[in-house]
Amino acid sequence: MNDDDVDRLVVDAGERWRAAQRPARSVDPALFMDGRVVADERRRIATPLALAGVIVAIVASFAFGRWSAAGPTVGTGPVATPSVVAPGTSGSLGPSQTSRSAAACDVTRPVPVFVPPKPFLRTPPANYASDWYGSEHLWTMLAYSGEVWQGWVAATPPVLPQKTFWWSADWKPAAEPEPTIIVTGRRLDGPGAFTFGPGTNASADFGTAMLVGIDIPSYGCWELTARYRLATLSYVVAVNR
Amino acid sequence: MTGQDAVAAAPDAPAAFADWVRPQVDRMARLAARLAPDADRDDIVQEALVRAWQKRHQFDPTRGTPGTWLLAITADRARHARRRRRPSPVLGEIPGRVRSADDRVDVEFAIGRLAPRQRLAIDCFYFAGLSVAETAAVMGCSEGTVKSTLSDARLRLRPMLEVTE
Repeated sequence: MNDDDVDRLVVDAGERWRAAQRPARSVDPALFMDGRVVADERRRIATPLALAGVIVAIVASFAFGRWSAAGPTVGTGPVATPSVVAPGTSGSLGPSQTSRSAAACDVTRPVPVFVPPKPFLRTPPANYASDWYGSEHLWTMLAYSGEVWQGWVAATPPVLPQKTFWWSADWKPAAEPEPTIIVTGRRLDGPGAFTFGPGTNASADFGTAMLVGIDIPSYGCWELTARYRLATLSYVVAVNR
Repeated sequence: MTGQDAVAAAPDAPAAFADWVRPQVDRMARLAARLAPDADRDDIVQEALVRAWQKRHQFDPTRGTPGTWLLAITADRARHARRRRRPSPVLGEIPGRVRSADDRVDVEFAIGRLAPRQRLAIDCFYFAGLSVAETAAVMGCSEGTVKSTLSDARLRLRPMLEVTE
């Protein structure tokens, strides 16, 4: 056997291996949206009035604490600045168009309950009426009866700003203060999608979490999916009027 | 920056960037599958694409093609994914890792016994289907080093692939 014979054997093995591979997942442009792009897109598509509305919404959200209208709150720690928005999706549906949808939403309950490894809390503090849900690579906190959110901010377009909190045994806050977590939303009962990320860190009585601020653009039944490193976690939330 | 550079630079718009990376995704997936066989190759590719997007302004078209740049990022993310994998207990001999008349098993078995750099070169060039230049980008070495590493690897594979009766 000479060098050419070896080459041929390995070439054949490589070709067979490639032929057995399934096609790669398609590329989603939503992966590539960050704050700078958002700014560019807003400059391109938004009217000055709409921009003023967004500013009012942000100011109002901080002034009245609406970021945490339905979910857990944090006493200290930075608030996530949403840095990814899918342009063109957030203003397409008004609340009045979708108010009936959330009632029939099959929200995700924290079943099976996840018990995190040490040193994380085995259960969330009782005042949240919630359990952990997910796996050690990515988990979140869900209300016993599932998440139902409300607390719209009058803005143009209308949005429901919300904080989402995520934990992972793979995440080291000191090494990665702004975790590369991405949260996507997909409306199950109508058109709509969003993507936000990366996250920041937030500490409270539930420990230190990855925090991703999201803007939900319409009422309805939404599936949220977080991706952090190789882990993915989804749950369904009802967004009510 | 010249007009040609401006055209060749990584696009700033998400949709254009998606179009720009799309031709490379299959090879990125194959590379991820070879370098981190126990991880989800699509997750590795997604991580690599997000990383590429975040670093798109660092792409220098005078130093390489989009393919070499994206494949190098993919290799980096695959290495991270492999390190994150917890070693699982091995109970007995792994099925399929024994010599047989099937040369596919023989070749994979023999490749598994190569030195890490030789195995990397074989995985990139023969299995992921990368060019010598792309393999060099993944390995962080010159094209000449890739060629000599591949030659050394074939030399070492030869006695392992020879059939003795």
